[in-house]
Amino acid sequence: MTTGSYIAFHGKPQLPAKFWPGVGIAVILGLIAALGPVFIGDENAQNLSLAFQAPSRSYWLGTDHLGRSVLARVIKGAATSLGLAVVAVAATALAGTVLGALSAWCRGWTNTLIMGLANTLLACPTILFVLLVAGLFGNGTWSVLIGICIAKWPAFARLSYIVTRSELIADHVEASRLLGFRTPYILAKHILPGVAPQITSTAALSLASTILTISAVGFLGIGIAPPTAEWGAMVADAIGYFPDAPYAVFGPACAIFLATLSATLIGESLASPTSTSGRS
Amino acid sequence: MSLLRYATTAFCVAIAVATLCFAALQVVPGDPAMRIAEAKFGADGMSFRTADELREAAGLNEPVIRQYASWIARTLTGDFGVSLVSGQAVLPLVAERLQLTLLVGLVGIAVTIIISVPLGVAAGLRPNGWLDHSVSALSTLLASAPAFLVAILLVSLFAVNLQWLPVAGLRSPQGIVLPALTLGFIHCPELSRVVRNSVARTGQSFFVTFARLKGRSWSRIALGHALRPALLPVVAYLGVLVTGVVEGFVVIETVFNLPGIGKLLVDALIARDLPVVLGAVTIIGLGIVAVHAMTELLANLVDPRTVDSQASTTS
Repeated sequence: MTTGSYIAFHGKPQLPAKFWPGVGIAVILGLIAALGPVFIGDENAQNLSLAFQAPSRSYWLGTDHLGRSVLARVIKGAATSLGLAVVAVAATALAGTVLGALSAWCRGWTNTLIMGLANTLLACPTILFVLLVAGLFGNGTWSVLIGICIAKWPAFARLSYIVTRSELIADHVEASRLLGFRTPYILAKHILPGVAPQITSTAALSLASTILTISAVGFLGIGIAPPTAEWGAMVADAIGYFPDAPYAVFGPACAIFLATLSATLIGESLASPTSTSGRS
Repeated sequence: MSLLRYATTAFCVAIAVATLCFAALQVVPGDPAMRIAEAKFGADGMSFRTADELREAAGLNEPVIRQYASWIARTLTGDFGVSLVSGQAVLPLVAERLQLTLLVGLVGIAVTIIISVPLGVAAGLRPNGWLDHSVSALSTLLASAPAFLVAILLVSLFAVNLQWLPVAGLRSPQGIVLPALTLGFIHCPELSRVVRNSVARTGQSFFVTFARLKGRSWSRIALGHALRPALLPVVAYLGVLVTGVVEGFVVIETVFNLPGIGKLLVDALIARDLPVVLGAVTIIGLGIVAVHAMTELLANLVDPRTVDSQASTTS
């Protein structure tokens, strides 16, 4: 487990070169997800006589097996896939950070319980939880969200626990307590600045793996129900016709790839303090 | 001591997974017997009478607490009941499917190790060299590709264009080559990064500097001084790698239509086949615990210092 971020080590933020391409892709994808749906028509409009078209002037990314525009569905899917991933990671990061800090603050039984649970869950693959929840409660956005939250909070909890525990015994926190500052003030002023940078980089890397998980679940046909445009489900729809009509696969697959790449680049540049220490 | 601790953990995990699954399945909306009837006979052929018979046969009309007690008792003796859809015993079914998954998984891990350890070592020996930067860039690209995209690209290259290997299925032994390659490739970025960081960190340590000051040859430093300390995090990482492999084979078995445990689990989830889901999840959970126990023992062999400080170095 690496502690300390690039910023913490050097005082002045000197981000690696790969940070900016990551941000660039993220901004473009964000704009597409937010504004794109305004410019496209019905993404589910079918025209069977136009199935399996190669990219052309009217269909920039070609059409799928039902003659639907791949571009329109990729744009519509951006809002679904990315929105879900961002919400899932935000909820998970918040829950995990609070639970980890609570665990370090309370110690004793609360600590044993929370961190014991976290360490057990940490060993289990995310997709198992998502499959379990989705299988039990039916396909849908909520099942994917809940499954990801159950699987991913331990990583944040552990990080937050380790940082909070080391901050709590630090001299400046002790001094702050002796000066009579209240717990919420100490948490906000001294603990949070120590936790925040690492949570940010972990959240970015977690976003990357969450995008992959959501697309994998969509691909398995257990995630968001059709005909809602979702990148993983789009690949699953098109893969049966792959050798003859690769365009319908490559549109959504490249979108997943770009989104994950962007999150990975940002996460890695925030996480890598020096050339020798890597992410945990 | 370590073995005893892991045996206890395994026992707790088995109970916990079983309990969790059981509890979750209790609160699922809908009547399980109706779903089984639908899965077994189709939406047209089912009736309330068949559902009643199935409910009786599966013991679903008994009190919940008794169902739970009998489920736990049976789990601990290795009896996961029979599949509600096919009527086969769950344990032999899972065991049969597990063989294929283990085979593909082991070959996949071997592929990962064969590719990423040499690359990671080469990159770590000269941090910030051209090789380091290229391996790192390649890793980032590969880490961003979803498993099914890697599978599609491999299939289109080796099966469709070159026609060396079958596209999917298991009609011949060659059928496992592409799934194993996919599984191996998608985990290369993580492992090569761990190896590279570990080697680079060891290279900066004082004893390596000292050995260089003594005038030791480069190869003697690498093999005699740096290899063992650099190996430790790699061994510890293998446990994490296996967790990732579980994540991978669920998707990969579906892409390649391999009858492994991942496919079994996905199919059982869709059919709501309660005993098969519980059996498969419990077996996977136990397998993960077993692997973590083995990596810890292995880590102790590579570095005996970790025996005393397990609490802080493992997990």
